[in-house]
Amino acid sequence: MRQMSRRPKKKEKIYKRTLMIPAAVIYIVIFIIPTFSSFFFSFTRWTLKDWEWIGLDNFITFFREPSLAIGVKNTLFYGFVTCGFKVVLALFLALLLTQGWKMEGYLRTLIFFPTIISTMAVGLIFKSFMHPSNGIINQALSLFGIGKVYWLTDKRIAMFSVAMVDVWQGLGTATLMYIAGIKAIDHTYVEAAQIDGADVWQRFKYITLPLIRPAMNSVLILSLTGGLRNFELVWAMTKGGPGFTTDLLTTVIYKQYANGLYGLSTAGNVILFLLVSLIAFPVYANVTRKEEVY
Amino acid sequence: MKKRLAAAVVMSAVLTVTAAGCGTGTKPAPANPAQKTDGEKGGDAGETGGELSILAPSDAVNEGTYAIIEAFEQKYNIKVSLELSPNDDVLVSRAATGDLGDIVDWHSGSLMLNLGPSDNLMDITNEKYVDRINETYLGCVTSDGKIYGVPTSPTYAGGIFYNKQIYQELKLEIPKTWDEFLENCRACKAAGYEGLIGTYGDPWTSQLLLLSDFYYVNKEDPDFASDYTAGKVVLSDSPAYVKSVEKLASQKEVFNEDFLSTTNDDGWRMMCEGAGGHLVSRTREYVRALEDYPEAEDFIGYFAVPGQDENNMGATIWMPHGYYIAANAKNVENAKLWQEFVTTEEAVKLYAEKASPMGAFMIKDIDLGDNIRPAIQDTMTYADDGRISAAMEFLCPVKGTNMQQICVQIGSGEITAEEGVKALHEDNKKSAEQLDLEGWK
Repeated sequence: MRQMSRRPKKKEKIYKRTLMIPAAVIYIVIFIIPTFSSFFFSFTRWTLKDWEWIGLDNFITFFREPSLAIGVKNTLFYGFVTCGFKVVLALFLALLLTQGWKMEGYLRTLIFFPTIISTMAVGLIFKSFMHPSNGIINQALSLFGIGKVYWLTDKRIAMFSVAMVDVWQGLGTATLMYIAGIKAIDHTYVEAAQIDGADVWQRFKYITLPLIRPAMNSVLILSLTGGLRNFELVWAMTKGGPGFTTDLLTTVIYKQYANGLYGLSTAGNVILFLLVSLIAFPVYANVTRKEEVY
Repeated sequence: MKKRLAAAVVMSAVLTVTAAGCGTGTKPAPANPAQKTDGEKGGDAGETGGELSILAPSDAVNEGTYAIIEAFEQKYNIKVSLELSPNDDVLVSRAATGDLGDIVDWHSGSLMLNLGPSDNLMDITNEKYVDRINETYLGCVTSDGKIYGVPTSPTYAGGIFYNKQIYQELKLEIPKTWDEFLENCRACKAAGYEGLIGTYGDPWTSQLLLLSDFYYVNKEDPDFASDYTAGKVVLSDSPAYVKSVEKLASQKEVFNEDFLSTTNDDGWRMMCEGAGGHLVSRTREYVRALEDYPEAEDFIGYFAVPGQDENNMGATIWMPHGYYIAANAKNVENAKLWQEFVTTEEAVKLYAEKASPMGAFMIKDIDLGDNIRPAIQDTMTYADDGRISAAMEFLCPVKGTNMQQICVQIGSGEITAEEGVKALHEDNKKSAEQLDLEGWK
């Protein structure tokens, strides 16, 4: 007997659609409407009482003033650096942790711990670690004769220091995703390759790497978008200082809001939204195209 | 079976610990001795009764405040609940959403406008107790012709705190010009002490030198503040202001090594432990630091930021915070009673007893008694000679929001003094536009 899928009758369709309405209402009210109204308000100077249309002024100010423009620059740096390190280091760690060692379970749990600690706590702890005189990092370095490093106050490396702490915390999730991907590789491929005489590097390059593409893409997209929108870690460690050196778009937005410059803050949010979208969508489209499904 | 039991035990242990952890610490920091006293204490009981809620930044209250609260509770049989907030921004949001309770403790001067007084605060222009308040202060809690606040505490002065013992040891004298001051700093540094303790780990302290130097700007041109408000001049039009910024830039050579990471608390600790020669701060922070290091009282002194002219050294004073009544306060009568009580000699004396005053009170006809710390007495000599000026934020509503970060940039040498003056003005422009000031558009 042939099996045909039933085409839903009209009543069923209406029933299903009605069930979606509560969720749709909430989504529209809490997400869609504020997003579009913020696009509108970014072109105004507004207070809680009234608003005044000023066109592109907020955006011009954002890119003209060094204290604001640096937010854009730092956000891009931060997003790409943390993403890059996470994608590469987590893969390396995941490979290590799928070798079949005895301690594997314990090590995997250990790797994952930083992720479950509150980001603010991580930030504050590392801030005290990185104190130039009293922090343990510099004290440990001095045992090897290395002089004081101004981790969080030297213009050249401050942003990088914060990024490294972010990587430290984010490695857990990324590694776990890679491990899941690696474990999903059908072992017959590996066996076949071994029989054909492939060495470790060739097995990695031609089997592992292509087959974990989905996991790698997830890690890439998640770290990139997460990194571009980071706030808590930077706020806990430097509050965007010293001066404006480690300001990200998010901290700039917060500071403008806290100081009552609501229009500027809204404009910043729109810029952040556009930035993340303009980066995330093409990256997503590009990498998923290369995904191979076996 | 055993496995199941073990799992159940572990689960319940985890849940209990988590629940216990969640239960505490979610309420805002409760005060205080004030909450322990109950309305049943008798005293002049029977008079009023009821409740009063006070919302304050956590660094604004001290032993003196608690003493006043306790006395108020006993006198009027009103239960006071004090809520402390560690963050200024939160209070601004709460004002905007009408969630201030009855009384809020907040800045006076230009920062008062952040609370939106005409919408969120109650007008007390016609209350009797307003007559007891010093006119200069009233000018700082007035907006659009309406008065809103009463002073919470004494005024405080900004300037340089120095270590008397180190001065004695190195045979230094109180500097009369800025260059002499830098000389003294270098001498301290050469002797192994910190020349000047910088606390840029807390960025807001970076502005203190600039703000405490306003006496010279005001002296050079008494109209500068009002001209600036009207948008008629820019910052670089005041040579004294430019000089103030240059002073900021000249600190770097005598700062301690880790000045960018040293916090305000760290800095005061170093000062009270005798490790540093000088620290730029205000008597408000001084009084708080001494609560932890009372012995330091003997060797910490004060002098105003020196200018160019050795015969004309003057101090810049900050007006105290104000107690304001929320526009939608529930216990309006009690709130007014509180405002009135705070302006009586009785309350002021209680405050002065517990929290040795950081300067003169803004209430008329008060006799302060003897409990005044040495450094504060140093500040009063300036007041007695008339060599004082209110800080700029009390004479001009324009204060840029990024001032602290720009001052950090100037003080750490990231930008030059000239660039700093320009940056400060650009920053002020944004605030002026937001405040809708004429002459700035």
